[in-house]
Amino acid sequence: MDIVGTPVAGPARTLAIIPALNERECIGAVIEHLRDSLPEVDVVVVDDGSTDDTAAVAAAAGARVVQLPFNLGVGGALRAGLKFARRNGYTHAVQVDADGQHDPSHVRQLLDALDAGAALAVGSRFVRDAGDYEVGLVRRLAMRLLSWLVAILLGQRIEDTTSGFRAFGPEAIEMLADRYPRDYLSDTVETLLLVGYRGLPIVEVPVQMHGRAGGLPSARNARLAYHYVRMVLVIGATASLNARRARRPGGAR
Amino acid sequence: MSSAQLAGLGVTAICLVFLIGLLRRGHLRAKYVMVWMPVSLAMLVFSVVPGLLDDVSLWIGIAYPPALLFMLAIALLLLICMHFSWELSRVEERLRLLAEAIAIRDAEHDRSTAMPPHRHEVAGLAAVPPAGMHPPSSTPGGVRDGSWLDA
Repeated sequence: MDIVGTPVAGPARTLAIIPALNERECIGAVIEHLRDSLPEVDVVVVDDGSTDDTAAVAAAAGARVVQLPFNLGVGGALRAGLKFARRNGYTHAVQVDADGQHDPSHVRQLLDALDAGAALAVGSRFVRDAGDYEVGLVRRLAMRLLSWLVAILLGQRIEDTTSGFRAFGPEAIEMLADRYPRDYLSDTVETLLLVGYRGLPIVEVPVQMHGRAGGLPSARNARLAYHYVRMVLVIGATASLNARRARRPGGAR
Repeated sequence: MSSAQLAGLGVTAICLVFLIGLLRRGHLRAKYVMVWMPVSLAMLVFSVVPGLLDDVSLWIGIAYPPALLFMLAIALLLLICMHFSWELSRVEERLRLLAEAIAIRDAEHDRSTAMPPHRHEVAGLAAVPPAGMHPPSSTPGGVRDGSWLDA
């Protein structure tokens, strides 16, 4: 059961990874929309332990399906998807939400950013939309603090640190297929740090998202607080100046 | 600072550095570091703040301050052990699901071949090595790697 691949080489092939948990209503439409807008991109749906027939609906819509035997969370599903990408010779990968919030036209922009040299392209809602302000002040400030911490460590300001709309280049896939963090908040924020500490370039691309404002989902306060503290601990423990060194002219990895 | 306080501080500092080190190297999940942190931090507080243990004991009504320390330590350890039991239960159930998935997938894939894979080579994985120096069991029914508590 060889799940350790070799580094991806060869002609550019792109895989869209859609983590999905009980999304049988939307997943078909999302896949079709994606395949219509970007016919050269293959689609894999990572079924994260759905109890409905998401996998069957996805397969019928023309996607490959990786069916996890139990729920691992978005981070777990993404790592499985990236392993699938690496194993099957994909050079580029893009994470797309199963609920239709991510517009396939923006996928093209993310991929273009990768072609321009980025290792990780993050789709960010630079303009804060109305939905965000429904979230409490404490939460907003707390997330702002987290973003600030990340900006200090990376030497680069990232507006939307919790965006799940990202595209990965070959080096990012190679590393993250083994190391993609599983925990809530880590799967977005810590990934940025992991990529940045390697000296790999991160680029933010302005996008708009449909429907509910992503970024700060309505997680229960206790859960968010716990993962927030955990994130601060992890960030503190693993802090490194590598990213800043790499950004300095002439700086090595 | 008294020598006792210094010793307490020293031990706690070593614990914390050790914990952070394990986290950095990916040997411990952040979740478990956070479970052990309260223990280290409590030790830190009690070793650094002079007389805190005595004052709190007095306030609660415990005549012998070290008893408070033991009580707290035991309570924390009990909670941690219970947490581990819960986690182990989850992990065991997930292992079952994985085992089923692999076995059934093998069966469905190997419909074409005459011989099922050797029991000790399921899906290319080696058999679970038996504990100690006993040779692998030749009894039918697969690998038995321990606990009669399981089945």
